[in-house]
Amino acid sequence: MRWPRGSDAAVAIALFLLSLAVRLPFLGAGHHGYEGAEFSVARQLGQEDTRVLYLENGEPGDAGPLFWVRPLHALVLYPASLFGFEAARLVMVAVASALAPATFRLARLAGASRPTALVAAFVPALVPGLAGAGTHLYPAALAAPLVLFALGERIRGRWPRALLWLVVASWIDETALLVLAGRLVLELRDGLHRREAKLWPVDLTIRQTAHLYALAPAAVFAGLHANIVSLFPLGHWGGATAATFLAEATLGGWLLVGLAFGLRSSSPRRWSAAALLLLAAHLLLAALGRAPDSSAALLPAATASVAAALTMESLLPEARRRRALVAAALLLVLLVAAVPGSVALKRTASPLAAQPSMAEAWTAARLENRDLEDARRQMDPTRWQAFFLIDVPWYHVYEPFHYALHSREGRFTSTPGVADVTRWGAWIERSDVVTVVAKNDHPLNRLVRETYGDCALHENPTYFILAGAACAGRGAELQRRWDETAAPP
Amino acid sequence: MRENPKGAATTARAVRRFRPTRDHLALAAVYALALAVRLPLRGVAAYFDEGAFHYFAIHYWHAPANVTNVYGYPADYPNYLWFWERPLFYFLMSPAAHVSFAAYRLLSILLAAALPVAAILVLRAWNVRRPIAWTTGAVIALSPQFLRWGVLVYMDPVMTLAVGLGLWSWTRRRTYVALAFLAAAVMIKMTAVLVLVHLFAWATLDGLREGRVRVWPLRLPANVVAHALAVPLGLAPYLYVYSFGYGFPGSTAHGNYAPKLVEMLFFSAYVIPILLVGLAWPRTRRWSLLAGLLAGSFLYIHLVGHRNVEDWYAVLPAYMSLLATALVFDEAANRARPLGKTVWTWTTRATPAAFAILALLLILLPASAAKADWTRPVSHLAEPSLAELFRSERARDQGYEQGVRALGPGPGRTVFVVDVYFSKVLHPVATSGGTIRYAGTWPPPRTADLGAWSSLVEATARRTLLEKNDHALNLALRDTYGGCTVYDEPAYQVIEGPRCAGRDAALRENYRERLAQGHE
Repeated sequence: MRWPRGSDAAVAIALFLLSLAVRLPFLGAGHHGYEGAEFSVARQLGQEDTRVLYLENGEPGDAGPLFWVRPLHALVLYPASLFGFEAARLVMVAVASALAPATFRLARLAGASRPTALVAAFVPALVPGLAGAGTHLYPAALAAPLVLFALGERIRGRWPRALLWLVVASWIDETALLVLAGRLVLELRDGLHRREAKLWPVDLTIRQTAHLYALAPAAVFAGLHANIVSLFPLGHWGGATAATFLAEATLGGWLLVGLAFGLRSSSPRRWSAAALLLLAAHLLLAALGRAPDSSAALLPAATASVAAALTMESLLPEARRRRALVAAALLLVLLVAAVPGSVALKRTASPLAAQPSMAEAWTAARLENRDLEDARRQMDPTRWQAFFLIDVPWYHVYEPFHYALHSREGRFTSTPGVADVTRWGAWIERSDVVTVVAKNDHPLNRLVRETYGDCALHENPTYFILAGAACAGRGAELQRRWDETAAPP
Repeated sequence: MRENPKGAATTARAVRRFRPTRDHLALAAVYALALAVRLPLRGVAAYFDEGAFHYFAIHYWHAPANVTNVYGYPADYPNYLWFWERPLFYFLMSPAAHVSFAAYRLLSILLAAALPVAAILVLRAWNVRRPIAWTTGAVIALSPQFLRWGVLVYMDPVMTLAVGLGLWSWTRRRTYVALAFLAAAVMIKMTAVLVLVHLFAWATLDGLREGRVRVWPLRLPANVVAHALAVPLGLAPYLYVYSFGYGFPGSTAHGNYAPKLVEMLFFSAYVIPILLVGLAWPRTRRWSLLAGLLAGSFLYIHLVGHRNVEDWYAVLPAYMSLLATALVFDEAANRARPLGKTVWTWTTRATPAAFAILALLLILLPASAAKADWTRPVSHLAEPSLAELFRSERARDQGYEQGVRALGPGPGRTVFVVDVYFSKVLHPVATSGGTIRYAGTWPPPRTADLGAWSSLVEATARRTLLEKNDHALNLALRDTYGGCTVYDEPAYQVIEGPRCAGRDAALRENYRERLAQGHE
């Protein structure tokens, strides 16, 4: 790995430290979306834990497919995951902090001047939404710096190394597959243009063959991914909406202006097109009902900022005017990072979605899922050896509850899927079991809380925690009341 | 039927002149024979998922709009992904399905009866002697294994026909036509992808041997590229449903029935050593290997994947096994020629004759222990004779058919069907028109929900059809409304609920008693 020399190296290191500094406050943030699932898949390397079962059918949650869709992501997080959720977060913070220097390096290698490249790097470094997303345990944050590094290697003419990094990135996150496929298309186009290759019958060069072979195994992972996300729709995992995604990936929509101008000039055209394609792919998935997770904006945002930087270079060759534009762009990024989202001017300037300031983002992250953290604190491994979870989202079963208790066994269930309420009573009333109910309006959920109300240990707006041993013998009452309650079928 | 100048299949033999008149007459005779034994069974009851397939052929990917569950919500099984998994089959059968179930069956029979014809075409394209080719065609026309699934409307015979026509075209070097047939076969049922993959692998190996294929950097001749593209093209519908979370088709197996499978997939266990011999000879190797690959794949998914391999899955592997066996017989005859006239005569006549006798024994002898021991040496499970198959098929599910007649579904009427397999509800109940309410008594519903059941039986539905079982609510319904039974036989009961109105409390009481007795 060759690092930029001289001042560029110093700038890159400074950018890394700056990114690290703004991301470290996110370390203590609550669980975001389905992060818990990513963590448990990494910690167990896709192996199912037969101690934790779905009560209604007695089967463990099978994490194997989730591991195989993004195997390298789990492998990278595995060592840290053994030390806990925060340790895994720390790895993500460190890796995500490399995105800004990688953006800077790519912009420089693509021909941008140092100040323009610096502005491009400030986007992933300082935009609050992107900074926070980079700390979540989602794979896109891990893959994005690798993709940018690979593209840089490609510019330097080291295509085998670039290809290797793209393959690694695509085994971490399937989004990189788009870049790999894009590279193959460009290689084929160039080969056909130079009459070095033919598509019918197929006669490829070594470079094209290598790209084709690199794509094949990754496509298998992508196929698995398509199957898995349809079983567990991302939109149901608390993913970002299309508008939020677009706002974060394009600096509130402003980068789209740069990309539009970039398509008109020859040198940044390829980068603008790549950034637009990445954005379009995510928006297409969102339109199909598969909302992007929070870190999906990282790679499109970094690519778009490189494209916008190159557009500035090409539109304003005259140095003095360019310096003025760079200063304006820098000011815009700093304003986005510093001005609170409630300021009217900022809301007007970012029509797609509200953009919080960095301070607001830190506060929001600390407040996120506080009730879950509060419930986790009640899990006392010296007091309970097993757990029973009712209506708790499946991605919270292992992390935090199972890991917090170091439990011997656990069961989870959901009110719509209930088959036999008497078994619920048996589990709730065991002396070694702590029961956590995620509150909702389902009649059975309310019945459980009413029947065992006087055995409550702790309650917050989202969770109801009870030690049912003191209320032993109420299972029959729960069954009787449920049997006579009108409920949605 | 032109000769194949390409493969090893023909290189060992002198070129023969095609005699259209004799061959055409033989093809017509075999088709007539296949039709003659299939048509009398066209009116038998719908079997297992046949009703669902018929429904999809009419309504395509749309959920059944006239079937709702006991609470009035749309029935959620089977879902529209069933359609997109095998769309070409439903589109192909659609015109006849729109006419009637009988027309739908007739179209399927007309297609399935062409299987022996396609077999003869393939064998003659491989330059197999006429007696061997015609005998093989006759065996396929008459064998109960092919006959049963050639009458009931399942994908496998239609898919096998497309494979047969694909192999015929492929042998005649009509590569693109062949690949179109084979890709269509995969869209009818994805099992056929094994044939495509096999041909692709073989074309690639041929290319590597001949220097036309290069792995690094990649160079592929047009025919190999076409093979490679046909695989994802054929699989496109399945990949589509897979991306929506659809898993591997079929069901989980409970128990191991590999011995039965071996004989079903190879048509007979006696075929296996013949195919092994076929692996040794260049002319027969690729087709013996394909037969083994097809049968072996199903054995693998059963033994290792613990999946059920249903009887109709065996149509394609057994068909391929018979074709490969016929080719091995023909090659054996060729190789016997230098050994002298006696040996040659014995080989060319006695070996296929012995095979024909085995097939005739399978077809004509009634099921017995002796038949099982001699014709099914691995599983010792006797196959029914042709006559027995006729009798059993005509008797199958007659109770249900009469029950549906007693239920009397039709436009403007609401009927209630309980515990019947959903495909059997789709046809003949749902396709008869009217409003269908459908429910299962397991898992046991809550007593609070029984009001929906009693009001449906007593007021909303004209009549209620139950498939009898020992679940608490099934027993309670039959006890409570038993006095209003209009049809009763060992497996099914039809109740005219409106005549027994006002028994909601009795139903609840009876249900509680049944639960207390340990019924679920």
